[in-house]
Amino acid sequence: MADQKTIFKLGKHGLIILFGLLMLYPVLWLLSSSFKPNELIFSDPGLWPARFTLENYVNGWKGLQGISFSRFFLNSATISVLSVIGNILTCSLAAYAFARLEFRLKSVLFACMLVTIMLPYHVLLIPQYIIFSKLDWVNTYLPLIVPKWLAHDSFFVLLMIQFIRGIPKELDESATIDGCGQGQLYFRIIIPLLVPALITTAIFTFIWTWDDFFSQMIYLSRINLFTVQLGIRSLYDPSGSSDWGALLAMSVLSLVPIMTIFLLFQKHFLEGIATTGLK
Amino acid sequence: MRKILGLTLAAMLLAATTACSGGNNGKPATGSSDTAEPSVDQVELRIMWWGDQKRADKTNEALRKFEEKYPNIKVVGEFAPNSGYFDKLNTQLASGTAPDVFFLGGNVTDYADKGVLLDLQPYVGKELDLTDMDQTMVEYGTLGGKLVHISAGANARGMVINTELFKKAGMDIPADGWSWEDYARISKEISEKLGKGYYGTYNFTVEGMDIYMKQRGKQVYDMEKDALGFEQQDAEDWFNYWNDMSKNGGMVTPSLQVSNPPGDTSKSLVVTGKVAMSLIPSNQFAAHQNLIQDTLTMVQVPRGPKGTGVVFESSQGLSGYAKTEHPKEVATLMNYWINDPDAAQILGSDRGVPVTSKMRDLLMKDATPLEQTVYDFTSRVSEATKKEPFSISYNPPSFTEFTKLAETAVQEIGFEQKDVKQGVEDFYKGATQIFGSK
Amino acid sequence: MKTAHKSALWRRSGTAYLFLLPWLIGFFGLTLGPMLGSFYLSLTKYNLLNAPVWLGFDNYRHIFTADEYFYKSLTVTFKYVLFSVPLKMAFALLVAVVLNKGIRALGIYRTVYYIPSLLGGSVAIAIVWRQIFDGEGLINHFLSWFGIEGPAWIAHPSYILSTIVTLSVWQFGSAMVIFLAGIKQIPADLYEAAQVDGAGKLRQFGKITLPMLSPVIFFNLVMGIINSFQVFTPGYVIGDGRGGPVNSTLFYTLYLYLKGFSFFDMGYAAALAWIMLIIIGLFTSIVFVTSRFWVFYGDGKDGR
Repeated sequence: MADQKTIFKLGKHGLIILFGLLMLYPVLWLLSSSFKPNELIFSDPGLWPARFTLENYVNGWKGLQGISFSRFFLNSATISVLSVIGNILTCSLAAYAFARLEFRLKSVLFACMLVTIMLPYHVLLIPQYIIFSKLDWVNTYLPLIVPKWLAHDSFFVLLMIQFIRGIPKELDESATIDGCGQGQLYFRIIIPLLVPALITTAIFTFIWTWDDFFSQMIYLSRINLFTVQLGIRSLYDPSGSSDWGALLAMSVLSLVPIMTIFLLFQKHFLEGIATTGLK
Repeated sequence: MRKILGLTLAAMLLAATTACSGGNNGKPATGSSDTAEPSVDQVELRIMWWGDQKRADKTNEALRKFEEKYPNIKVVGEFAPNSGYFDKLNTQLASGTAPDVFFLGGNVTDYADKGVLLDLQPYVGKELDLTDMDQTMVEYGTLGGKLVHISAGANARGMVINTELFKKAGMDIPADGWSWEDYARISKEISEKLGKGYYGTYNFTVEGMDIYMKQRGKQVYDMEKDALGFEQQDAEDWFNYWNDMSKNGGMVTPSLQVSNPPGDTSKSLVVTGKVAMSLIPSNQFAAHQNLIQDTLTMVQVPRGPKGTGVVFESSQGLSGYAKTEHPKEVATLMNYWINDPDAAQILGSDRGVPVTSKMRDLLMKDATPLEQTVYDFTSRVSEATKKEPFSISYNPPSFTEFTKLAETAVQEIGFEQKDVKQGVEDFYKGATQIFGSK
Repeated sequence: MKTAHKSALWRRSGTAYLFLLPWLIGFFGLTLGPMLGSFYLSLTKYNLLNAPVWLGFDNYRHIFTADEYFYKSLTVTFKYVLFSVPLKMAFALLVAVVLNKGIRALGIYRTVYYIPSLLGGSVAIAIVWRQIFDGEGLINHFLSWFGIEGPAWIAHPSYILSTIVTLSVWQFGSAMVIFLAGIKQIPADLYEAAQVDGAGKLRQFGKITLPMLSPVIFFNLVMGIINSFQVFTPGYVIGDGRGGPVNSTLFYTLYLYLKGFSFFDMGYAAALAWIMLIIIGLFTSIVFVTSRFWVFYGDGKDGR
């Protein structure tokens, strides 16, 4: 009986690990290729570098036009962190209103919120660019950050709505009887119970902002404002002499912060936040 | 509520109207700077280009040098990664905030016919000296009677050859003057000798179409008539040539052509040493050689009835924005780009061979062996064009749409969804429609 | 009585609008204008660089009557949505349940499983994917052990879409994380009670996990539909970025983008965009309408 259990456990682990390897393969390839000299990256497909070099990292880190990747990392981190704060704050406010409060035009506004993400981004780009350039925000981080402070990501608003609606209503009712106003209710009851959703929002916002390329490319032109993604893409020119080694090396480094963030934050799913809040 | 809505509507209308004013009459915005003669005022120019890091470094260095020589002009480089350059440029043009100078490639015709490019004619002989520039390149930049584009580098298309593979197969390395029959025979022979997984050539039905048409005395696009310059039969012959090549096994399979397109050096089978020959522009030779240990070389395109059909083409060049406030300084910058020895030396042949003979001679003096191969090739092409001159190749307007159509036809035939006759018929019909609607 | 009720709603509306204020500013300041602007453009011929010319509904008429690419791209997109949305969700839910608890080194596993999603549409993915699904890639190597000669999965017009669906399922990380967060919200005492009653794991999953998770499943479904209809990047990562081979990767949004930015026909692209909006809106509404039958909320109001 005990043996069978062990075998079952081992099998489970084995399967998860096997699957994990499949998931990891691209990263392993990325990692190994980043240590290969340029002329071997595509002609030697093996996972273990035949010739090992650190040059890609050294060259890549130098960055572009005298601005090193340390600056790009700092820039990306600034944008990502500010976006995370904005999204958590404003999306949860909006979600609370939609999930718990009754107000006029609610269903109309709710529909509006959803419709905004149904229109393909490319046709909004130019009118939006005109607004931002009239505001003189081009070549600043404002076009990237301000929308996040205006609950612009309906994805997260809806996510939080769904989570708030999963919270038993008796909780707010008893709090209302205790004399809590809506503001207190939101901060004292909803926010603590919403932590898993807030963490999810934080992780996604950070990673997606970090990985975003298109809007950064459109709004940022000055090299000292460049982000990690812009730095990496700048190394890439499929028809020219791309420095593939440096590109891959910097891609590896750009994964480090987002993987760390994920590893740190996902822990919070392990702790029973939701249940402890309930009791 | 209503107030907010009203305000937004107003903002939207404003947005819409400004979108409309994105450079509609193509007149250079001469106003203030025309009257203010050589001003001591500091002028700031914005310039935008695309490309890899090496190019960015060189371009910046050249711009700094320019500022040294013209202390009253400050140049701000706005550089965009290759993958988003034209999206960004289009967005800026649409919102009326484009840089004073920007680079364009073969798609310059798309912009020229919409009137957003600065006419440089008024500055020729003053700020802009073209006496030393190749006449074909000047012609290339003159569209609709206006000089709107200054080539920043010339290239000539030719065959890149992997010499190592020919040695391995025990075959002679091809030489200039070969014919399309030779090309088909050699492709087949080398594929057979090297065995499974190796191929003689990529399929360049689309990339080489204009060359083939010129070899027959036709052209893909007749700019004067604004129509297709070839018959359906010409296309059918060309597509058939490649279909036969595919049947006899000398060519990369249709699947590989899709998964490893020749135009992308990260995927190209020339770079992995699996394909012995392909068509490339000469300025991309270095990009290929840098990624492979086998020695590559360049040979002229196989000949047709009227010769090779290859001329020097602009790989890319500079255009000014019609609404720039500093057209004179724009012209000055362009002049520096093509005529200044310092600029030539910094920029090298990254965007192609220099377009003025003096600068070309200057660079040839201390070329690396790799560059030497390219110069060798281009001077051979140059000789050939003297004997057998051909007209310049322009990309037709809506070139992207045309290319997509042609590629689809090649793939439909390759994946056996249509036979050559049907595929070419649909392609020809589609192409006529594209140019007809303009 | 009635007026008292009304003024109470107004007063409460005030509070609600206060909560909504940032969103309202964003919606009216940044989104609504461009949206209406794009609708206006859809009624014009607009080549990006010159002033738009009024056309009325010509773009729409042309799309429906004379544009074979429109139907082609719609077919490709529908196929993609049909396969990728359910597969991805099922996969994410399965892995989330397995990785919820009871295994050592959970954090590492979760991170590893999230990695494909981290890579997004990067250059590296394109290269690796080719190595796996190439004519001579890992998959075909594996198949050859059984004497099967596989096709070039990433290059053949008949197979490339299935490869793209696989890629999207493989990047199930985001959906998984949302499921994990949802599972965490389920009170543990429900499971304890079920255990006391002697319900097996499978029964617990059906009777507790699924219903309690239904708001999150609903969310993933709605977002899955909205995002999948707008699929764009795989056309670049796996395809050639122009819809090839033979238009088999011509996703709707890719076609729209090509029209607008590469073929200089932004008015037409805007019309395509509004048609897409209607299609997505239709499907989303269907999900919303049916949700009252299968989504259970803690606030007691099922569905919307």
